[in-house]
Amino acid sequence: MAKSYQDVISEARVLLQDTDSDSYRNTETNLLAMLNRGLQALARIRPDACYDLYSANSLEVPELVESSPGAGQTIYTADFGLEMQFFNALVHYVTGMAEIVDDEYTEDGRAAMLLNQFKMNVLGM
Amino acid sequence: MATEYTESIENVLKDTIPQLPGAIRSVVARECRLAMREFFEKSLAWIVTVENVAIPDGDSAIQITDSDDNTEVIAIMDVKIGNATDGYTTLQPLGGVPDKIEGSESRSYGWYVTSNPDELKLHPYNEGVSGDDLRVTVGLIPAFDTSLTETDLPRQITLKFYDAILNGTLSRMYMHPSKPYSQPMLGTQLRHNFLRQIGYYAAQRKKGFNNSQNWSFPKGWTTRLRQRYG
Repeated sequence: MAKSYQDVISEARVLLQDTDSDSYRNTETNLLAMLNRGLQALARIRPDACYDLYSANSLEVPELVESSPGAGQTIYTADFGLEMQFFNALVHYVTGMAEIVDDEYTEDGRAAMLLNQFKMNVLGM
Repeated sequence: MATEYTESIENVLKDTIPQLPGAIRSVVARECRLAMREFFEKSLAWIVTVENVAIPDGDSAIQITDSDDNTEVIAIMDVKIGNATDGYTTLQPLGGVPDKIEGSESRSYGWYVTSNPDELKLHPYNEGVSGDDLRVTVGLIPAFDTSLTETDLPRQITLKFYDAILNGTLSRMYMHPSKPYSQPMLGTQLRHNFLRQIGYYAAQRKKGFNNSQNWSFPKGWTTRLRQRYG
């Protein structure tokens, strides 16, 4: 079954040990915002990642929303539109960013490691 | 070259993707198209003769098309005028618009390009209804809107020019900055090989792909026999 953008957040929650939907530490809205930032960071260092999403002769970075997508927006339950090689990188990005703000439970080294992992995943071997 | 469309970009991707870790499939396909375009545009290794091109009455441009959805005309290489009964005579290519544009009821002797790459005019232009037609040899490139899987590329792509196309595609990819597959030095080497192969196949084309001689005496040194029979 095809992965969706929402699955990035679901898998990040596993790494964050934040899977109890009755008492999420990180709201879905916050993690979705981080995923959007992650997509923009990805498009900056790997513009070809969004190659299949070119629209009207410009690079189109998906802007994900939880519901009621407007013009140029994509609902986050839609199929993951990038190549799967970037899925794991985005999971690391969302997890790393959440670790930075989740200071009650986090260790700074883990956040930095995850954000470096994001960069390594998309730029390195 | 009779054209049989048996190949797709997918064929080329199978042999390039494994050498490009972290590459986006559609980006490789795009670079493959660009490499093919460059290869055929520079080498003119894909030529076809368009027969029975009508000669217009008056000073009108003639647009050459090979009437094939899978190709684009990239160069007009040779124009002959004549008919099936009398045979055909090669028209002289002119470097630009003649000093005086004029018409004639007898045959034109030259042609010049009015809009690169596929539009020409005759000099002097034809006046009245011509009993002749043109036989035009053109260079082709694959059309750009080819799909990944559709077999709309000629068989020569993998049969003959394959190494060149692979080298061209890989060199373009390796030249990308800051990617997992970036290898500028290897890219430069493959680019060098690619350009060398363009020259190799251009030379083959000039020899008609059958090692025929490709020269004639310069006009100033012409022999009596040549003066008499052209």
